[in-house]
Amino acid sequence: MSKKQKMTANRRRVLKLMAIAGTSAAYLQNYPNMANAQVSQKGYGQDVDVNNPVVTWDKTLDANQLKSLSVIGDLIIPADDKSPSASQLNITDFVDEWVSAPYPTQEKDRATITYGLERLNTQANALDARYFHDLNGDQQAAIFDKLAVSVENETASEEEDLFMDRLVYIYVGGYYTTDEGMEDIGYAGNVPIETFDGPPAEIRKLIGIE
Amino acid sequence: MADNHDVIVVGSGAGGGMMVHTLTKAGVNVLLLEAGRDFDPKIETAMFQWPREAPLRDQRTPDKNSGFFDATVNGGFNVDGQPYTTEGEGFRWWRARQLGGRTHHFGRQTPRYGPDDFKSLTNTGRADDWPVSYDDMEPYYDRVEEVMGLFGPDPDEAVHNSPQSPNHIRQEPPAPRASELIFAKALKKMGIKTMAHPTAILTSPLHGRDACFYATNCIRGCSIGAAFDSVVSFINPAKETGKLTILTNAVVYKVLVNEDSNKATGVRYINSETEEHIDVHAKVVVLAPAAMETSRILLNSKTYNAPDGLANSSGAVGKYLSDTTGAGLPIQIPALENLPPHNEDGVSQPHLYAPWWLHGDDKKEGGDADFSGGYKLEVSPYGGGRFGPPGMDDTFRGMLIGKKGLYGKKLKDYMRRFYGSTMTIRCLGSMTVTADNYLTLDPQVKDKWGIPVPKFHWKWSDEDFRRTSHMYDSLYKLAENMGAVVLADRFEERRKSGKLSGPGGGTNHEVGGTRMGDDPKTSVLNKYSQTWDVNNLYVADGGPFVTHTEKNPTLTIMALSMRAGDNIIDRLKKGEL
Repeated sequence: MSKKQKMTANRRRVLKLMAIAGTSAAYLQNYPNMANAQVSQKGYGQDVDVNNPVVTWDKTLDANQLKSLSVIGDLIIPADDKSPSASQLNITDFVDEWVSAPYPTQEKDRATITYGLERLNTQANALDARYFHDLNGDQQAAIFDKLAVSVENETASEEEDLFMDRLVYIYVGGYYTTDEGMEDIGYAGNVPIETFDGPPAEIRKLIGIE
Repeated sequence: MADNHDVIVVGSGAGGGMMVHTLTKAGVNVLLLEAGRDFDPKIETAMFQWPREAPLRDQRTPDKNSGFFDATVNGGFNVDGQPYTTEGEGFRWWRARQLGGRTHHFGRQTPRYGPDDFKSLTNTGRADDWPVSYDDMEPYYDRVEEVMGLFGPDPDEAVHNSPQSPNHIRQEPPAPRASELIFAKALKKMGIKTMAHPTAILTSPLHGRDACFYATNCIRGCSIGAAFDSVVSFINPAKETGKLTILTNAVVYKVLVNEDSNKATGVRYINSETEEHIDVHAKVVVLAPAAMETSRILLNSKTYNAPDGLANSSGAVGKYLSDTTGAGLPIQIPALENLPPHNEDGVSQPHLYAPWWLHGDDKKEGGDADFSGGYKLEVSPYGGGRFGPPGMDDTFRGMLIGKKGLYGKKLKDYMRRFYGSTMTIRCLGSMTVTADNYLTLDPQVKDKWGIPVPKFHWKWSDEDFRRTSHMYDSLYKLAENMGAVVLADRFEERRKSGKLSGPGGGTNHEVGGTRMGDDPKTSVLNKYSQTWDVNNLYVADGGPFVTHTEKNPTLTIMALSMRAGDNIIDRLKKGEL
């Protein structure tokens, strides 16, 4: 598929998602913010004060969306002996900032992610839970793993595929730009140094240069 | 405002700043008009701020096209209330509305054009010859580099047609990064030479400016003056002469002309804060608002004697536009997996590059380089690696290519192992300059002040396609020799579709529109960047370019500007102006 076709397909998909969001009473009941969010929010503009960054828009996800995302965030990035989990670093708050932003990429992500959450809730409903986050840990892990496997096998729907891709991207982006995340992957710069002498001998040896 | 200025300079970026510096140092009284607001990189630059300190982790948005911390003020590919229109394969026009123009957002790559580049028609039958030669330009390259400061390779290492700054001017380059050592080793195997890329960043103090401390991306601007910009290197020293008056928020849209004497008498601008239309006058007018804007102003400056636009008796105003061609390939290098943490920020620009290597007989023997011009190869500073603090698009998007469904412990292990091993190798190349690329005034669309806006007509030539296709072939060969895995592989598909390049202007290297030449019938400017039609009107931005090579244009813009400045000084002394 060419890039242009793909963009068109994405756009079509988002329009479809918006249509679903707009017409489903149950959807609006679960996610009242979806009905009126975004429209009046303002971006930070083209002349910003870089030394005093301000997020100029309100966060718009509701308590249930945040709870479910927090669970999913920890499935994507769990704690281990080297670094904390996504929720321990409050990355879901960043996801809320992201999907509430009044820019086209983020507005698309908002539609993708709120719709995906709704689909997870539907699966939770079948197990007699109101929301995904009401399920027990095993149930949550099983449902999410099934989604991930279907995305990996390319058997997932376009909506599910996009939901997984974007969630992972935003959680990874939010998490690995924190101090803890950068330390985990081994970023070691952004400090002033006198001279730049290239990689130390240890690294040169490891990469097979001299 | 008292009209006691010798020269009006429109625009304060690379070309305008250089002009102001040249003129005021010679005692000429200058009025500088800048469309944007005042800007001081010393206090307005985000140094050391982490992506997480900005909204959306500093990701690109329609408001700030290179992220929140980017230096660009009221600019980018879209400026509120100041639209443009396009036809053909599309065009994107990057602007900045601040003192110093685009030199704050600038990548600082400053290679010299080579001797062959000025003789395109003679050597290749393409485009045209410049009215100046490398020998004419060399002293100006030297002088600009002395003011600007740069690091570069040992000039004895220079290859054909990529001349380098002499040892008494250039500073020592930073050492190559780990990924660049692998890049250089692979190219050596391929018989292609690599060297430090000439770059306007100080590695030793100069003119009261500090040396680089190897942190913070240069596109944010530079608060310590290590990375060159027009405010620190040109405008501030010009202010000290007492010969410079600056008007900001002054959007020039018309050159004023005395039809009897056929002289430019000044310019008309809109004060963007008060919306007043104001005339200012001087003996000489220099346009340097960026090449595309110069064409627009001339086309909007119609007079009785110049019904098709001022200085346009040739009909060439707005024509022969060009931008740098390019290609990029995201790769992963297994040798760079799992490396212990080490600081690879460097100067935020490539430390090494391979200048174009196929020339003359080489090209014939090579057999497959079936195009004029060439391209350079480098590891992109924006495609991953360990270049600067990890960012969402720059680092993680590349790392997640082809990792569908990855999450949990496996994701964390993957991030630890692969971080720093993904990056983009890229080419920047020549464009064949043709009459197919031009701008006109849009007959309907106007900006928020009612001034007609440019309409860009864009078409890549078959030769551009062949050159870009060759770039990809080289990138694949390079990836193989680097022992790398290619991450996103849509190239063959795109090659078959016949389209390898996006819209024009994407590289922010758009030049032309008022090309120089020896013949007033086919060019707008003479060899001193003076318009053929109005002899006290000059152009000092990218407008004069005749050909477009793989070398980034800024240094040549400044060298041409300084040369025009010398000509103005000389003629003022002789009383010709």
